[in-house]
Amino acid sequence: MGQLLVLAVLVPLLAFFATLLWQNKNERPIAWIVRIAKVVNIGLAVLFAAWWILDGLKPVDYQLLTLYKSDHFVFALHFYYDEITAVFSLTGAVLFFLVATFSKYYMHRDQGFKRFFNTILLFSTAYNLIILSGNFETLFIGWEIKGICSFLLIAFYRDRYLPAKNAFKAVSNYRISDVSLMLAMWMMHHLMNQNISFPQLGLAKLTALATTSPFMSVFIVCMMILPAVVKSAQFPFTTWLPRALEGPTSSSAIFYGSLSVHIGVFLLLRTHPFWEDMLWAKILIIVIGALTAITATVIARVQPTVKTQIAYSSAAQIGLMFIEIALGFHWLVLLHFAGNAFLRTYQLLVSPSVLNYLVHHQIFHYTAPVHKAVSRWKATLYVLGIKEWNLDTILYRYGWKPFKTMGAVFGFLQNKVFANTLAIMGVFLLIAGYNKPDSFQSQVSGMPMLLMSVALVLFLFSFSSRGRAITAWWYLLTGHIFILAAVLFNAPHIYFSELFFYASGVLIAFLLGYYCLLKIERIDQDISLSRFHGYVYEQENTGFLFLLAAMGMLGFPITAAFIGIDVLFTYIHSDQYVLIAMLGLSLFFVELAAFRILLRIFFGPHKKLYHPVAFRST
Amino acid sequence: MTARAEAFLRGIGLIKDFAPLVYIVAHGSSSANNPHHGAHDCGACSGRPGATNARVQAFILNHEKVRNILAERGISIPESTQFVGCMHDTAADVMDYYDEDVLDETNGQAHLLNIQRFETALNLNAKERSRRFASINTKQELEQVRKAIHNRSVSLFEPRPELGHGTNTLAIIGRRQVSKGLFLDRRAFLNSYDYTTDPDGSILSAVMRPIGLVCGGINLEYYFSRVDNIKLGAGTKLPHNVMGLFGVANSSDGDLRPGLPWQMIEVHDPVRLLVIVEQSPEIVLQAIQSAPAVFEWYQNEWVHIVALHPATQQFYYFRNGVFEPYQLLTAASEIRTIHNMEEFIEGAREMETNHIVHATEENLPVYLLD
Repeated sequence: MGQLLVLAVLVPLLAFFATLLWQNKNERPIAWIVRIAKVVNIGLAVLFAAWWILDGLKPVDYQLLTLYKSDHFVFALHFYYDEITAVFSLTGAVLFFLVATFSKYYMHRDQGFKRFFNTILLFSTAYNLIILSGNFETLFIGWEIKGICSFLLIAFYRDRYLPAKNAFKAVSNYRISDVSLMLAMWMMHHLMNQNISFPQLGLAKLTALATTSPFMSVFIVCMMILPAVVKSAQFPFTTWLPRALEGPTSSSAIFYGSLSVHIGVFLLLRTHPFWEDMLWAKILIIVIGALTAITATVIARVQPTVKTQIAYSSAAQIGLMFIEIALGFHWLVLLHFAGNAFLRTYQLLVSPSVLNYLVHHQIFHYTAPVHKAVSRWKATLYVLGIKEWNLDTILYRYGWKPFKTMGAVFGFLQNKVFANTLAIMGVFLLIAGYNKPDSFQSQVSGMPMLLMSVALVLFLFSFSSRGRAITAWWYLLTGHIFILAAVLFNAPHIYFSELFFYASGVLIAFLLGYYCLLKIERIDQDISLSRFHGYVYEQENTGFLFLLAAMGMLGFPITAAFIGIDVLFTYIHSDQYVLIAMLGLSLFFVELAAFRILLRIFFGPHKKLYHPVAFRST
Repeated sequence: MTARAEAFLRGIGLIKDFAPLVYIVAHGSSSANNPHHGAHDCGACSGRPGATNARVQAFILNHEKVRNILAERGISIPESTQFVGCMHDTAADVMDYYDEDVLDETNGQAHLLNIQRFETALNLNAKERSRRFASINTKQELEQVRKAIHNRSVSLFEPRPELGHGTNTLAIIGRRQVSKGLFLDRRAFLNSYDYTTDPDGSILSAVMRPIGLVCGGINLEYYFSRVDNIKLGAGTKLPHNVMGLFGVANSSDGDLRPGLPWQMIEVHDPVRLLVIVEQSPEIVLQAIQSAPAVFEWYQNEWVHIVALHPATQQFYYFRNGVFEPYQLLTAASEIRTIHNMEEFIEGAREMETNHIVHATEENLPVYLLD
């Protein structure tokens, strides 16, 4: 059965590549491919479940292949199937089937018909990869692909301002979860001195409890809870969820109503063996779940739009699921998940009908409202609900704004002289780091720290830059060079192949992106990041290439840089808190900076007025 | 009640030669999962179906005392004549008849026969509509086409349950003989008015009052939604989020969207309404000038108006405050004739994509029917 599990990932992936071959107007062939994929997908899900039940409910563990192996690091694709996977895979397959069928008619003649099905097929691949994954590395690949699919569907109507803005909001939240997962993997690696798979988590727990310093296990557990909290839109990150409902109703239904938003629940269920004996972790999860359930319920009851209400209600239910997980009621959680996923998908799909239902109800069962004094408590809750407890504003003001301000401090970097000098310096340091004498005392020198902070500053500058896009893009490359140099100075010895993985991926991505930006700059002298340019309207293919470039720049699993980044992490020791924090932040802002350039240059309302341009507020 | 009945009958020129059965057909539209379903219902009924109006009107006209007073005022409805209120669901192509139990025996039997005729008409209507829907094979049997059309109106996933008033360009106000035998490709509002019963134009003034407001209003709604669907229209309806039971917005923090969504206007050509009135230009001018609110529609050219002189068959086009004779650009002989309607509909071209260039190719010119 193990080998068959791979099919669940391969089938939607092949279907994805097959749909790429057709044009947007060829709706029939695209619909046929999707039909085959959705039927096979559901067939596989049923087959796996049946097999697993007949086999006596034994977990299936299968290692597909090892992508990279050295004396200290193993990167393997690993699959795992147990009752959690069974429920998630059956629910996912049925929902994918329903939504794909619905969308075939719903998306008819839409300008993004092909794009839509490309994206949900890729999403299906990512989803299956996540739920079937047997180790963190495999899970992480799916996790990143899913994030990109989310981004693409939120920004589906890319020629309007709000989808572009909200897609960025969602992506910035997603990146928190990506980076924290990376950090969890890093610490886990140091804890166990090897890469471990999910079935070994129980063992890892024993090791963690046996170590004298509780810090490592606390760190790992926090970095497991944080991605779950972010992806499942729990307190205080709830507000991205309703804002993500920018795409077509059917995509909102499968993503934010059901499958995508429950991935946090999956992660907690998967990692439960690791933290099941840590009381503080359980209390933390219960508190977060309860806070979400309460705040989201209050919001859901007073919001004026139907999709927002559904989104918050869904988040509130997931809050309850978090509590159930912490209390150990796992079958209840699985039931709760399936119920909530189906209900929210249905509710979102029929949300346009709410007008029919309620207006008709008002006509035939009208009762005049009774005016009575509203209690102070009720009024307070009402206002808090309408304002979403100011969570969005608070997150922006205290979460994002400080970094923007910090980046703006380094505005002088816009100057060409700095850009070139820093790049040359970076390359020089890279060479110096590679050829450093064996006697070099990396821990004492402070060199890694210095270089890493330069990298972070460069990324922060790119993230907040309002100047020329090419300069910002250039600094992303320079930042990567400084990260590499920092790691070289930090570790006694690094394999050249590992360096090569990382550098090759980033360099290709940089060149591709550079070409795209140059091309746009040739058309239009001004490509400053101070506004949206909307070039995807005229340069769709260039926009797509730049998307690939941006993904490559942040180590997305399309280039070898992906493995490179994971390997680099292992060269940072478990006690270098500041250095790892800076590396985490750097990887966080490199994605935001790259996607910001993508959004500003290619997305949003087109600047030329001979195209139809939507109002900013629509 | 009598006043309403009288105004209604005189307005459409039905004051003598009553048939034994008169149907008053309202229209409405049923669609599932469509926040814009009100835009498919009756505009003159505030976006609701007109069924209640039709039923009430039939009740009034069947009322004995009303008929007595009407007879005193010169409209005598024979005792054998009965009115039936009904509604045509324009999305599902289904008819519903109200209060059939008031019919006497002869009319009851005639009604059963008429229901069959209505069914045939609905089948043909479904066939004609189906050519605009890419998902329906127009060449199927009539009943299958009808079923497919009906399915659209109850499908949760159908963003185009019907095309409503899309492609509207004309309003013909006159006797139905005027447009008999003309194929107008579902583009005309047809308003009954008999000039012979109205020598001084007093009825026409009443008839013209709602024309600008209803027909012109609908036309301009489609016009502007098509001209700039992103700003003046609602854009594509797929991401719409119903807000507060009174409107739609995009996502949770977008503004309310005005106008019609893309799916309703993609087949529409943005042209202003052409009103054709079968009456002498002097009387038409007097009618449209009867109220400033009516006149500004024509004076400011929100809609065009043409008078067809009943005696000379000459057209007069209204411009700069006067009706001037209009020279026809197309000779009558140039208009081709359709011999087999079903074949003609099946052979009509389908748009390749819904880009405006392709969408316009789907529109058919005026034909004669034989």
